[in-house]
Amino acid sequence: MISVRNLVKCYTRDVIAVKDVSFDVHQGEIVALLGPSGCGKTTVLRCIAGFERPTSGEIYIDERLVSSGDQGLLTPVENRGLGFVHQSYALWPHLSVYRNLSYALELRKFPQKEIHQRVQQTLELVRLGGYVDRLPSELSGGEQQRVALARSLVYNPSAILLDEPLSNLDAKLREQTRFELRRLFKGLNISALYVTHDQSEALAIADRCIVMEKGTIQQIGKPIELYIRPGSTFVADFMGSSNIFTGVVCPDDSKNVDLPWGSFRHGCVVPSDRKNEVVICIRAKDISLRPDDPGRENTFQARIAVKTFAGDFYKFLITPVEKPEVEVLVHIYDYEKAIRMEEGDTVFVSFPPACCQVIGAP
Amino acid sequence: MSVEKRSSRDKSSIRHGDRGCRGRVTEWLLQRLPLIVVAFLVLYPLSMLIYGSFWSGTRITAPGHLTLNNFIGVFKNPTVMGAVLSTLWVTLGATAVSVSLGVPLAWLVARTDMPGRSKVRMLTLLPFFTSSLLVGVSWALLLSPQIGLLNHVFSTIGLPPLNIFSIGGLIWATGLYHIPYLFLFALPAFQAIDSSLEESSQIIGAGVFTTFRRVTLPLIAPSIASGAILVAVSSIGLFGIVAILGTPKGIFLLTNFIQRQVSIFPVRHNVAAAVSVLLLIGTLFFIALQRRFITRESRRFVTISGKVSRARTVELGPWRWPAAALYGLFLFVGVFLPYLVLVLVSLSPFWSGSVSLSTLTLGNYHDLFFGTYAQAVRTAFGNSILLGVGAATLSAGVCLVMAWVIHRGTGWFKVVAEFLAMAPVAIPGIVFGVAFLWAWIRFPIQIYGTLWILVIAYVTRTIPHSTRVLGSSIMQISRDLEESARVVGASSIRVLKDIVFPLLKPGLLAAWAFVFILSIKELNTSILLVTTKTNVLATLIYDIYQEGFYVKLSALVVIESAVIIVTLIVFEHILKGKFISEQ
Repeated sequence: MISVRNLVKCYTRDVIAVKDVSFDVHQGEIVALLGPSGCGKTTVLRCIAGFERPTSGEIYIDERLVSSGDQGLLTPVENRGLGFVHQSYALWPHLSVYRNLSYALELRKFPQKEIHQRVQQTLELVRLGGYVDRLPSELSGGEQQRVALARSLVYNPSAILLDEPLSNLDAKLREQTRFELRRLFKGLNISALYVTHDQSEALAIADRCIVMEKGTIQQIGKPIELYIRPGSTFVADFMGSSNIFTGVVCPDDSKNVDLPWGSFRHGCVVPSDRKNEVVICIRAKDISLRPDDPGRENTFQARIAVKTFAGDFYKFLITPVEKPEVEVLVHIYDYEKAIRMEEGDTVFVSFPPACCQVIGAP
Repeated sequence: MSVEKRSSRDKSSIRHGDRGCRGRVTEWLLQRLPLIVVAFLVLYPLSMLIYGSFWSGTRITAPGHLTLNNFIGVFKNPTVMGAVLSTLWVTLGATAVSVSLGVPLAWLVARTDMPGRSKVRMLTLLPFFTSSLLVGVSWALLLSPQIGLLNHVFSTIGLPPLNIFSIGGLIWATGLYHIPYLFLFALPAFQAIDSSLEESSQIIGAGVFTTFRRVTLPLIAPSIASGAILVAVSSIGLFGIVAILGTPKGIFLLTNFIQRQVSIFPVRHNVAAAVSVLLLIGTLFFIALQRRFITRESRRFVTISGKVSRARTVELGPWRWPAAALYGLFLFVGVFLPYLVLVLVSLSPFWSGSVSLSTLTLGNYHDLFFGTYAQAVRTAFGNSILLGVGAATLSAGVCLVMAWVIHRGTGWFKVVAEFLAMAPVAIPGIVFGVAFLWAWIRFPIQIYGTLWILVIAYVTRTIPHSTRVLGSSIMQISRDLEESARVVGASSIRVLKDIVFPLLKPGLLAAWAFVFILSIKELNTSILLVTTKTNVLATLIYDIYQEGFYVKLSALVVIESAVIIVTLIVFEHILKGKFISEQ
């Protein structure tokens, strides 16, 4: 279990990488620290590991205080009992796979027999049983990644920290590995803090996600919560495949919002103090297209600008007839329907009011 | 992000853990001390040299005043002006020879399916580790008009003899000696070429030859240019070859002219310093040329930098064996023949240009260690080994810290260290010799006349090379490797012992062996700094040459080469075949 309280990290007086960040990683929980590059997520991870000295704030590992800005306490890296997987894997090139794993156990003065047993067990856990004598340079990228993982698990650390561990794998392997990582961590019931800039990776692996931007936490929640109810424009945008527009709440009916090409009903309760400009978010998959008028509310006409096939669905980029400079992204999962609509066609666009969310002021 | 992250890491290295005051002091000293030492080793002698070039006294110890007369005298002296011209000719000619031979050789090894190409690498690079004296002496024995073995062969088949004691001979020997430089630069460049560029040329209709000329060659031009300029810089300052092939016949380049001013009565240290300054300026010109060229060209050719793209092998077809035969001929003439003639002469009781197998004897070797030269040979041999070990160990230590400051340091230390580490490249060996005379003869602590001056000279001269070799070792050790050792429970001392040191070891060994070999073969600087007590193998060989004993001389050259080759083989074995490629 890891607890971070009011963590601040400044490099110089002006460069503040992390501002007042607090969160917990519970026993056996997988938490993803998610955000664009430069948001401070890696700094948080490195502070927890002990590679960086926090400017202020406290860090607890299994309820033991390991770092405190106020008390000037900084437990050395090697005494924190954590595991860490670098983005580069950082396998020691002069040591065999076996020695890469056994090193931690030798430092802990385990008897030879137990070292052997544990190394074998851990290697089998990552399906590299036969690789003991290989050097890191003789392994593929995926194998190196698994050795790095095994190396940080072999001594039963109290939690494991991962810094973009999948970013050096190719796309297909990355998808597979998501499942494996989750299965592995859940099987071991180990706490994991996982840094990534890839939202789909975070959503897939984590029990909870922490979205960071510019050194602060934007939102903490289960992946599905972040996806369905983004707390801010940034989160909505970062979670991807959403249309974000700025509109004005109707003065006489707060259930309606005026966009440049029409007035639409939304599904939120707008507090009375947020009367004027608002940001709304409509997910691409919640929008439907049809050639004829469905006669529903929230319908407008638009031209299909681009249509591409994305495997599981079709992606459409449409422009409202009333306002052709606006682009709306639409995902259509119904192939039959999508095939019949071509680029250049004019179609009727509609979305349920419940899927039109007001997420804040611009 | 990346900038932010790097700066954070630099800070974390200073604040890591809870190091106390002592850690800070060690860090403070480690950053500054090597800079001060190296600055002293390089800048102090150089400033003394410049001071000396304006001194009116002919000897370093003589009274005098500052004057411009040395330079005026030098420009009015026809011998010096002749030497400047000859130096220019030899430098350009030798560079042309090594480029025109080195580039095709590198191409054959790097890009073609020539038989045996994986095995010829080490042999081609061998001259890189041999002494310039060996090249001079062996070619004198091969192509001397009177006693040359090859000339002997030529005359029996009715060809006119060639004269190695000429500008042409100097060009040939100097060019041959420098082929490895070109080879070392061109080989990786050829290997790094992205074959798709050549394929695109072929697809639009250019043949193999046109493609080589119009695409491949321009792509590797920057690397060839760097290699060529390095050859020029080295040729300008090379003493060993002209000492053998030029001095006896009155052919003067700047190097042997400088040596004369210092070692032949009446001594003129001030003139030597003035000519050295000219030589230094010439070298700096080439270095500046290279800098400009490289920065300009590297911007144009971004396609061949470090990307992992496998260069396609060119199939030579029916030309496979002729190519191999030509390569073999080069190795025979350029590498093997010099050794062969030396061994033959060293085994002969006397030498007149022909070999008679019946009279071969080991007498010369016996004589060297037990005859008239015994005392001198034993002293020189002992000195060389002692100097080699001492200089190598010292250089590895100093350069490790230098490389560390360059690659892990921050701010101005890094910049200053980089400059100081590269500065000796621009200083020809013989100029170093003159500068060291000016620096140390009047130094309050007696260093001149002891072995220390040679140790300091060898360490200083090898700083650029060792720093580079060790730097590439350090670059391999990413901070991630150290961090992940900390995280699994290793203290910072354990990280040094278990991770950092083992990873540095190959680099340290390679740097050590290189300095050791250089100390054994070094002549350019040593020639001005030795005394009878501190004679080394290379200078003793030169002494014996001046007395004209070819057979004994050859035996000593063979011994010197044997020490070098044994070292090469031992370290090639220890480093699992990577010693030569580390250089």
